[in-house]
Amino acid sequence: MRDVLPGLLVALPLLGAALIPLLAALSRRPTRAAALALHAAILAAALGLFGSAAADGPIRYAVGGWPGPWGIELWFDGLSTLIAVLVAGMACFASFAQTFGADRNGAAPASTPLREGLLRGALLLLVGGLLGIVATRDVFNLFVFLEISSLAAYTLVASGEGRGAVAAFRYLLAGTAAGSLYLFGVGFLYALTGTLNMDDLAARLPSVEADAALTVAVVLIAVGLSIKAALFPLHGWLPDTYVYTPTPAAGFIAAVMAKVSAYALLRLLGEVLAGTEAGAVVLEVMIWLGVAGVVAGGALAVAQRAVTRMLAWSSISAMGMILIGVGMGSALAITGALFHMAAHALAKGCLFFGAGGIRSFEDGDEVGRWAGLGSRAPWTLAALTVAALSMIGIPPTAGFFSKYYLLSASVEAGGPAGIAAFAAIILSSLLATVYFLRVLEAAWFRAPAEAPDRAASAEPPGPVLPLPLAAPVVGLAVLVLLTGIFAHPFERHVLPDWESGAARIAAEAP
Amino acid sequence: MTTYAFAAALFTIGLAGMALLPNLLRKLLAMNVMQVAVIVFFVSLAFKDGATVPILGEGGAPVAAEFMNPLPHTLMLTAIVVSVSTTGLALGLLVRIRSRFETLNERRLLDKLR
Amino acid sequence: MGSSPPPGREATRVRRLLGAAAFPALFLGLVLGMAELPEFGDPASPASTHVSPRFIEDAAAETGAANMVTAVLADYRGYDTLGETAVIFAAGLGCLVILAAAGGRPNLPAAGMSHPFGSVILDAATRILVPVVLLFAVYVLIHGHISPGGGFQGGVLFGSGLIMMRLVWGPAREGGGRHPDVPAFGPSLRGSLILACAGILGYAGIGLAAMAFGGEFLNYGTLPLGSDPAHVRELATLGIEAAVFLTVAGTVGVLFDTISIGMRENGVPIGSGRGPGE
Repeated sequence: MRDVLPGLLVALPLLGAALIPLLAALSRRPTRAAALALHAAILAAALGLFGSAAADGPIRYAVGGWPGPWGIELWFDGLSTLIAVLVAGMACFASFAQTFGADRNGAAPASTPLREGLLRGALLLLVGGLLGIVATRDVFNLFVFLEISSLAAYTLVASGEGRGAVAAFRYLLAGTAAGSLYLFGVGFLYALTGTLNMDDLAARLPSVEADAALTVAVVLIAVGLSIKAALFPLHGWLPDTYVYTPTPAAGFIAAVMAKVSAYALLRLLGEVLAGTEAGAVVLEVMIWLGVAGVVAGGALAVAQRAVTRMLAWSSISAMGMILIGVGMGSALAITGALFHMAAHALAKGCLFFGAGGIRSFEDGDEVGRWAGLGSRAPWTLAALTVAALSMIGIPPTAGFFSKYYLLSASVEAGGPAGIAAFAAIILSSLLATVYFLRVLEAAWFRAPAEAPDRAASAEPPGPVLPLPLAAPVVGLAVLVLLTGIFAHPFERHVLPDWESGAARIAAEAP
Repeated sequence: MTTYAFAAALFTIGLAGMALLPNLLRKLLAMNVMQVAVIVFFVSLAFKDGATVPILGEGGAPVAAEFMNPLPHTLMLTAIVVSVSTTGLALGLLVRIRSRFETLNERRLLDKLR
Repeated sequence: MGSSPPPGREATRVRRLLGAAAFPALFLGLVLGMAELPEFGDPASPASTHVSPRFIEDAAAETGAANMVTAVLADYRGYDTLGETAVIFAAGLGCLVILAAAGGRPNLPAAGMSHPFGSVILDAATRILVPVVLLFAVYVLIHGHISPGGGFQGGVLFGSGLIMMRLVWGPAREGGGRHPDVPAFGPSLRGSLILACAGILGYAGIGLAAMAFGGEFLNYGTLPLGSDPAHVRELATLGIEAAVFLTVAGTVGVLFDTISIGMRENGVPIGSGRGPGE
């Protein structure tokens, strides 16, 4: 299995991305079964790799049979397989959500099988790009897959109404600037070392004596990836992108897209470039920017009246928190960052599927539109409540444990940065309480606003969300609870692997 | 060094254009300038004094010093394709934006979005 | 870019001032770093001595390609090239979604521009040029092993031949506006999409076939095409290049068609240079 799964994991999404549009163009029939089967197969491959890496240690895979540094290698350890499972799993939910009106967000035209197939192809390309970033051990290959995921994301963002096109164009400018900065940095590294392979780079960098050139390389790479990871103050593309993306894609993009870039930052700054002086300074700066992002994101989320926009700002806060963990770099902090990636992806995906669906079907994004939804759709709203509690950090949801790890890591780190991080994470929970309670209060305790046209029609209001959106919402909320409840065994059995992984990283750094 | 500095200048001009030009189409053109800068930088890394293009001709076994480094050329072939693809998609977005909002001026666009 | 929409002109001015200071700083930083890089053209630089010598000295023996760029592109770093093909496919898919497959219509619209530039001279010149361009594209594809060229270059040439026909003769199949004397020729938009998909499927298919014969993904050496591994890799590389050719040619067609359809259907003026946005 270990010699087949890595190839399948990266090949299947790209193959499917061509297969699904081809089927749609030839048969003009819905492609949902084929797409769901593909996503399930990708998830199975990711889970297989996760199990295999946990049981028998990391897997190195030389694509094309050429070993590094001449060929491109893939690398599957506890970190990369966890993120791969997260991406592949969220993609299954998104694909299920695409079953219904692949791009309905109120103003978009009705879907046709051909358009549905094209959008499913774009989602598969996005998944393929993200999995490629997660798997690769080559800095240039990372750029290629970053661009695949970006182009697919621009497509999905722009597939809604006209404002989506503006948001997508701004995202495209920011994303291309990010990619070019990153690639420029890779050029510096290549000029200094003559290699693109991450292991080879880590081995050769200590003997490089050009400090200024190395600093430029590290800064270019860090800034480029930080734009994609929406690190404050490089987050400008994020709110409009998340708000105007049609719901099925928004649930996926908001859940994993920025996190995969944060993972790339962790790989490069925390592992490959960890030995450089500039890398250490950049990580320190990242903690402070993360603190600023946590506070600013939370404060601006409170200021929003539209629910999806509030969720988008809350994501900037969450990305700040993840990057605080990446910046601290201790085993506890990296555990917290990874756990927060998982917890936040599940909860934010759930909330975006729910809030986006409510925006479409209740015809409005204001908090007031949620009034009375609790009595009409108790199960859906209960699920959304679980996700919101996880965002706040109430036990036993997953969000509590990720914040707990990050707080412990801040205490462990100490110093001004540790204190600032500790205070910011506590403050973010308070702010999250404020902005989520507004929505939950409206949903559960306020009477529904009587829309005149609805009062006139005799038929009772239908379910709040159609099944393709309600099922991911409920499923993700269950996962949020399970991840929280089983956090303890998770900590017991999975953490030691990661700690040894982090220790290996620390030991390899000169 | 001059070639490198040329790439740095192009990159700066491109990035500045993306940030400061008011028209979205011009931002896109500035973006292309920025991408070309990275390509110039990589290709100049491939250069070796006294070497020829990396295509095997007649004669004996090839010696590394006689041919330019093929790797940056390969990488930039990929980067060029990425640049072209991004530009194509961006043009598509601009057609969509232009038809919906009847302007490509960033400030007017923001006014209409408000 | 990089910041949320400015509330007014004041913020724009602040941004401009910041930019005026930031960009010279960026340039200076880049140049300071570059001063420490190996000299331009230095044969002893790490880039020239570490990984690349194998590509120069062993590529012909290991992969059968005299063009070392082709050897690295299609074989040593073939996975990059699959990704690159996926990037260009993504652009085509994106333009289809944004411009052509909207509005709830079940089929793709007829390709082409609202006003083809047809005239007697253009018509005659195109009739002579297009077959030559298309043939040359195939030559560039096949000759990529031993000379500059390959799937991307050939695909773009082929696509530009298709674009030339569209420019002069207008829509290729369904729909009006085509020059009355010219037979319908060239793939429709749907045909271009199918070409592009087929290329990706072919590329990934060759990679997966290598896995079926016990190798890694894209390890062409395991394919049962002969006894000499370098020759097998050479044949597989040609297959890869052909797949890339299909995707690139198809996507170039898709990009041109979707953008011209978008402009035609949305009434965006062509060739005016200055729209009301200026």
